[in-house]
Amino acid sequence: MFVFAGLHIFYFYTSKVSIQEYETAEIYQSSGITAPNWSNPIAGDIFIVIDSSASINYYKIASGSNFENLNVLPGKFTFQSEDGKNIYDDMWTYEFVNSDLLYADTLQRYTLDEFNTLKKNAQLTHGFRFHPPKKPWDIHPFFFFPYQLIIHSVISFFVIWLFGYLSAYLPGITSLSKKLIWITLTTILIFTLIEFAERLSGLADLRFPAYTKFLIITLGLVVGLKYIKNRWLYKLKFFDQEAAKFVFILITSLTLSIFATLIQVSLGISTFPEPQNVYNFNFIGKLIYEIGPLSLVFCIAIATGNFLNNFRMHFFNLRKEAKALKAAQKNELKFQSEIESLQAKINPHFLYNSLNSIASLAQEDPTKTEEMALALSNFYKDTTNRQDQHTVSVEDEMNLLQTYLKIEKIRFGDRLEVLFDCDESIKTQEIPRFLLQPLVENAIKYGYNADENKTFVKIVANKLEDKLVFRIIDHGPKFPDDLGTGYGLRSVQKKLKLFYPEKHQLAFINNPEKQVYIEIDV
Amino acid sequence: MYKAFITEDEYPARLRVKKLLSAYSDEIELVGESDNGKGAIEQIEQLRPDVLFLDIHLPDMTGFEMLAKLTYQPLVIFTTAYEAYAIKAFETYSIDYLVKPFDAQRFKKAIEKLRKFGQQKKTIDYKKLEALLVEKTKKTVSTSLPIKMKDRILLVEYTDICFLKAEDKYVQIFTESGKSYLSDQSLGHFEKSLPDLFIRVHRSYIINRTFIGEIRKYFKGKLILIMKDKGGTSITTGSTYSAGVRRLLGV
Repeated sequence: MFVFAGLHIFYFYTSKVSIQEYETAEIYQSSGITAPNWSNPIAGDIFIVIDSSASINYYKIASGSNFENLNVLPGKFTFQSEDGKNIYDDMWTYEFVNSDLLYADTLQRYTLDEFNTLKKNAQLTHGFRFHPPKKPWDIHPFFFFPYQLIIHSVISFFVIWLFGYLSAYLPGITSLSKKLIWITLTTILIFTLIEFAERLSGLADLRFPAYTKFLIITLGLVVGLKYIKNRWLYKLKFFDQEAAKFVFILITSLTLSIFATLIQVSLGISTFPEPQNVYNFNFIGKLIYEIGPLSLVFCIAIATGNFLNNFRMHFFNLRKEAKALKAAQKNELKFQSEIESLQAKINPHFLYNSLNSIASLAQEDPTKTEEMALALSNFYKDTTNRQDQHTVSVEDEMNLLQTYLKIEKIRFGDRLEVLFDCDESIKTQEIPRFLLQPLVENAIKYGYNADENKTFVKIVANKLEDKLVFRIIDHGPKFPDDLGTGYGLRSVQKKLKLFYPEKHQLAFINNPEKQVYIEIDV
Repeated sequence: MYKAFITEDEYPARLRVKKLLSAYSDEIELVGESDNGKGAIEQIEQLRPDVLFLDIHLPDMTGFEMLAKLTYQPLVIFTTAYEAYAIKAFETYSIDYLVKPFDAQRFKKAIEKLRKFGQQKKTIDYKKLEALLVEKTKKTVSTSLPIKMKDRILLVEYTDICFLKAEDKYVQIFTESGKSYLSDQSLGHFEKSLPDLFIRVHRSYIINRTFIGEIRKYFKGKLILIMKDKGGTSITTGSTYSAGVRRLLGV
């Protein structure tokens, strides 16, 4: 947007277009030697200009272009005054007037009365009446029309806003192809809107093809930048990278501008309405003119814009990284404390029940009392000795479960039957501590089979492809549909989530065999 | 002479009761014991004891369920491992309750109560007692939603669930990370079982209100809710639900 505004102002002050004071200029066919060709004014035709002071001056057409559809298109040609100076280097509209014909053999000056007499005497017939541009800024419509300036700025702002708004809803325009598509669409949109605005204001101009060169340059730059970044720049430090990119953009965009303009001029398309001399220029002259300040400004704007934007992104990323680091540190602390709290909460009921049992057995069954007390001691020895260890090997966990089950067996006697099936290959694999114990505890609690009058629990651990699989099977009543999370299940869930986020599965299966199924992707 | 029967899940506890009872062998005779409800019922019907020492938590049923299945009503002294169950009602509706571990003093008090009230033959409404018990112990609120799909049940934490969408025959449950689960239960079923954080906003959608990122007004009083999941899903409220949703969200 600022680039547009800048360009407008730049051209407004640097261009050398004079403001016309003439109301009309009329062109009439010149020499009477050949029949006048009214459809095609050509170089050499003389016209009369009647100015506001009512003086009549003859001017000869010095150069011109062919006209078709005379009443529709604006003509483009220059007028040469008596002293050979070129004037009227701007776009004039004209209309075909079926008025009187004037033949003039030589350049002559007539007064207004003489002219009117000639006209009255039907000595002036067909001609062209030329109307100079109505307002000063009509001369360079693209740059001098303040309304256009406003329109361009508003449109640019709107498009940029639209772009930003839409890209927030696209999940990240990161790939190169997506970037290119976006730039193309945006540029076409901008240029179309400019065209539209211009046509609305009554000045149609075929500049669209010329604008495409800017589009091509931009696309070329994006691709080129990506290429050099990946091949050469990644080795450089940040500032060097940016400086290199700046220079690259400048050089490349200028080169591309020249190249694109070559093609453009060869095709006869011009970006601007012709100034005085342009059709007297030779090819090189036209080329330089067309490349012009606009391209230079464009290239510098892109280079600078890219540079500044990358700076902004760089510092933004630095801040983001710092934030992420802080968050990661925080998470680590959180993780540690959560683990510790989970570890500490081995089901207190277990200890309570075990101590009750010991108290109950003490007098009646001293052997069992001793067994239970020792087993409990072993169980808690493992717990307390490895406070800062968050994981244990599968083998150690199985041993712990054996100790735990020894205690439970004393409580429930022959009614409890437990089997272990652990693969040799995974015995050394590390898993969170006490991951399985709550599940085994639940199996004992809810795994009673009335028909068999037994609580049968089987613990299976093996490897399935790359995953660790644990299954705690019992023969009790099936899991209900409204399975809730008692303490035990919650700790298992939490541990799996902490240690293996998104890489685990915990399922409660009823058929074919009732089991708790854990799958861990290691 | 009272005939007593012990129904107790754990061997050490059974042993303990037996030991404590032996001090009162002149007034209480132990006629049998069992470690499960079914076996207990069979024996009790046969032996017809006057007083039961009954564990509330038996492996195959609760103590109450067992009592309901008996053809007569003996006197009951409940035993339990959880203090939470020691509610006043127990004193009204049973002789006594004992919390493990049983110490001799407390046991003595229970026997004294038995002597005192044993003859009164109050009719005990065990169903009411059980209901009160269930009331009191329903403290563990579930933190996860059980999702049933064919033969397995998955537990997904409520705090992870962003929204639920009803498809043809299934309901799809979406988590914050974008992962989704399929369930063959109906959306209505979830509406009933999900906690208050979840709102039914459409015939086919239930959302977790903590994941609402943005609320936009739409035509006909509807709202567009943009969720905070990874994909930023937007859900439009349904016509029948819009008014209620607006009220709930204070829009």
